[in-house]
Amino acid sequence: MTTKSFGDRLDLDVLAAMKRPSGLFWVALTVSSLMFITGLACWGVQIARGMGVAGITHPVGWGVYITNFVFWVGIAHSGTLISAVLFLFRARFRSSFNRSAEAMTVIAVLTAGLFPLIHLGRTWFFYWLFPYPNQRQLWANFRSPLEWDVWAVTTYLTISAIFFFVGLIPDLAIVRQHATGLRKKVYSALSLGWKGTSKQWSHYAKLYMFLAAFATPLVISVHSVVSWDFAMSVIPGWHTTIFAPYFVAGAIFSGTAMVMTLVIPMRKILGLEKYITVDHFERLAKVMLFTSLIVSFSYAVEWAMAYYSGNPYETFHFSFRLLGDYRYFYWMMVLCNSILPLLVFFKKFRSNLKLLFVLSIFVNIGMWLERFVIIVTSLARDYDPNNWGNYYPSLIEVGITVGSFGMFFTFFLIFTKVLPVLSVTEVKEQQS
Amino acid sequence: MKKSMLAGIASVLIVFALNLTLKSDTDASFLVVLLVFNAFAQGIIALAAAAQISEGNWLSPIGNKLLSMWWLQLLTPFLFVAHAMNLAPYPWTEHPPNAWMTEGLFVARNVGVLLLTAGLAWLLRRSTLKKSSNTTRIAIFYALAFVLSQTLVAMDWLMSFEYPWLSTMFAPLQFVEALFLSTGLAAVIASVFVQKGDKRFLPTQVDAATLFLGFSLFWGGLFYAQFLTIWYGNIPEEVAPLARRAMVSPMRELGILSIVTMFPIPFIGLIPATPKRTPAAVRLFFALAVFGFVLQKIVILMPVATLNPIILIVSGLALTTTLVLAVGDALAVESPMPNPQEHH
Amino acid sequence: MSKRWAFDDKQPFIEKLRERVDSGVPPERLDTRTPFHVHEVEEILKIPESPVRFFALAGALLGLFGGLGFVLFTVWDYPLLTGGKPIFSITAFIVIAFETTILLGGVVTKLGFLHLARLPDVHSILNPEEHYNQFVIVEEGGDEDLDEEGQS
Repeated sequence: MTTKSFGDRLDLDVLAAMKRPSGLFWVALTVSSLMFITGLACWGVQIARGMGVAGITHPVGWGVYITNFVFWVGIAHSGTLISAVLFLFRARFRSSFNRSAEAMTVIAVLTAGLFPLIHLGRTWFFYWLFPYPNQRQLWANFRSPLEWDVWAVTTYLTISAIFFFVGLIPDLAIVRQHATGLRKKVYSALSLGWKGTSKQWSHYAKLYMFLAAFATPLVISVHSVVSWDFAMSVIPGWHTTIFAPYFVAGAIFSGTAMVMTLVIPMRKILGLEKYITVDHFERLAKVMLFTSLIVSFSYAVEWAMAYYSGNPYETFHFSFRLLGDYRYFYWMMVLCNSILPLLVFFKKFRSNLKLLFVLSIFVNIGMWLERFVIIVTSLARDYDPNNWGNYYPSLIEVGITVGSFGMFFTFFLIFTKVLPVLSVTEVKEQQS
Repeated sequence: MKKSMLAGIASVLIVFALNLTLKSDTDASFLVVLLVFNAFAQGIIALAAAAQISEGNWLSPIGNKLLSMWWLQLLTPFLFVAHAMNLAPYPWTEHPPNAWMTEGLFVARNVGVLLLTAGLAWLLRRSTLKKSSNTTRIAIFYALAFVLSQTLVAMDWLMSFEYPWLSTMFAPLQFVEALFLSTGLAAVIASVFVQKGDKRFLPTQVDAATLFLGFSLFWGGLFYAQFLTIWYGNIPEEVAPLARRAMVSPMRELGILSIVTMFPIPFIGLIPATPKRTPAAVRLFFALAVFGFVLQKIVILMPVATLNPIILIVSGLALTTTLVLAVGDALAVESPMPNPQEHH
Repeated sequence: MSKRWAFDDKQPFIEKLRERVDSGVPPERLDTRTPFHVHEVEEILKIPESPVRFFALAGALLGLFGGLGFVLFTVWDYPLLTGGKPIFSITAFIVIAFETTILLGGVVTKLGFLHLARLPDVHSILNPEEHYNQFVIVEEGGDEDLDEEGQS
């Protein structure tokens, strides 16, 4: 088989995925769009009637919205890990996932970025988060971790989008080659007139390497900044120095699970089994297992330190997590994040894609619950017993949460039809 | 028996003698040396285990050489017992706050975990030599034991000097430091061959130097995260131990020097390609990092313990000699060279 | 007038390119069209290292000093104490400076790439040349009438 014939075959297989959508696609798109619209409607109700429609109140001022924010930013991190970090480590197995993972990153960051706006209440004042000269002579509070978040997430969205688009340029040229009519013109414009000359490739290779080098510290820093939203406070369960690496590991953990949740069915439905193999998923599962162990270590260290110190506030707090009003969430979290992923140690398990898919769903649930448990239990029980109170999400909050999942899956489904789901150029380069 | 092993046994005897005769009830001098020695003894095997688990053959030219130094971990439990013969410097010994922080359990759990790690290091070495299919599995167990051991090193050996102050980041900092120093040592070992003209070790030197740079950055990030959390929270119980070290001379100056030699200097110095390919540069940055590590431990211990220069220098020289001789013996150990096309 | 050779595989393409250069054709007259990056082309055509790295450095430095400088300006302009922290809270501002370093580093690198690669190429957008996974050598100019095999 010549390189050309392999390339032609690969092009056709990947572009076949972008052809006329099937019935199953329309059903999936309808369901996810309805979820998205539900979320938007709930947000509309909240803007019209005020934040009182949400369940957050004294003392739990942060609830499901911030849980969703951290969850979606975390999902995004895995995409950057797969595309940038694994590129720098020259891990060959990444090329089967990296396009889908990069798309997942951009969509997840967009979804996450909505939540600070939703949580603002007076969403129309969102621009106050940015520093601009104004008559009030006020600048943004750069000492606040919430302001750091604005910069971190904006940077992350920008760099992820640039990285995603740069990786797409040669692939868009391939789509252009096979398109006709208006589609050809659109993809031609999107591919910027890419020709694949020697100089273009030389500059491109260096650009990709630098973008990967810039994106790598983003993987660490953005979720560290998000974790510092909590760690910069003083309440038990939040004020702890390990939060930065703990959250970063958790982010990669949940992100790899989401990649599996998306790519396992996508591979089957789009007929890409030749290019995305079981071996690729096994390697991804090992990354997931490694990060699961780091998360479990963090749970253990937090526990150990609470009892080591003998500090009554810390020991009470961790007892509350284990045995208090939110104990079922905590147990579910430990089951999904620490115990079930241990099954990946067994080859029979990790080479079974159906089981990996089911595990990935549990991990997604577990990681959402982890953020919920961290946020809500610490706020519900802080230093002063007179200040204690429980939190229960309202229907509006549930609706917006469902809407965020709807937004994510809607955009991802659209991505599978509009852009190539595999990094065609990189697969060709590897095969040669 | 190899010279290095004899030196090791002699070092243990010297350390016992020093601790029995010169150590006072507030002294922590030997602990500084023990921390450095333990970081290398466990870290080099952890590095080999990590390379095995990740199937990276960048380390294969020196992998067996690193693994041949597993026996250093047999010395650590004895050295720890020498340190633990007098636990009076620890503030919790007089009135144990809970069942966990008692002298008997303190010694038992640390010796137990050190022996466990040493045993797994031996198994890993044996399994690698036999090219057994269990090697990756053993490497995983070693890595877990390494993390557990380094966590106890951080919490028990060092952090409990400031009891009840705690930082959950202390444990990750400890094992990252061990890996950091070990990648530096790996680069230095490769540089010996590069300097002799054996260019087959150059990719290993460059890769190890790159990892060293990466760990330097990682360490800097973790250190900053810990500092930022304490600085921002501004809780008196947390800030006081930090202030004792960051606002009082000479700890402040020594502390800054230790941070600078462990992070910005190796990181910025090793970014360009040329220093990574130059044996002298690699050795210089490694030496600076070790110096910074020693200083850091001194700064952590100085406000809460006394340092006896005789114990520090004599035990330091004894264990450094053991380590250097061990590395010298390891250089002669055969390691498979990767196929150039298979590099990475 | 240009000559073109198209190949289905990488190896014969590289050999032909090397042959053209060895036969005395100046590398400036030769160019290629490949479906993916072929490192050997840069060695054979002696293409210098891409200056994209200078854009990366410039962007990163601009982000670092610009970001930190801007934040320090804002607290100097309106020195409002928050949380009991010092006015010039460098510890906290490092986070912002780090993010702006990466932000501007990435953006400027991308702009530099577009400039160096001459993208977007409007002519190619309107009249794209398609090679369908072939490795193509394009030789510009030249007076000899050679009976080389090849396709235009």
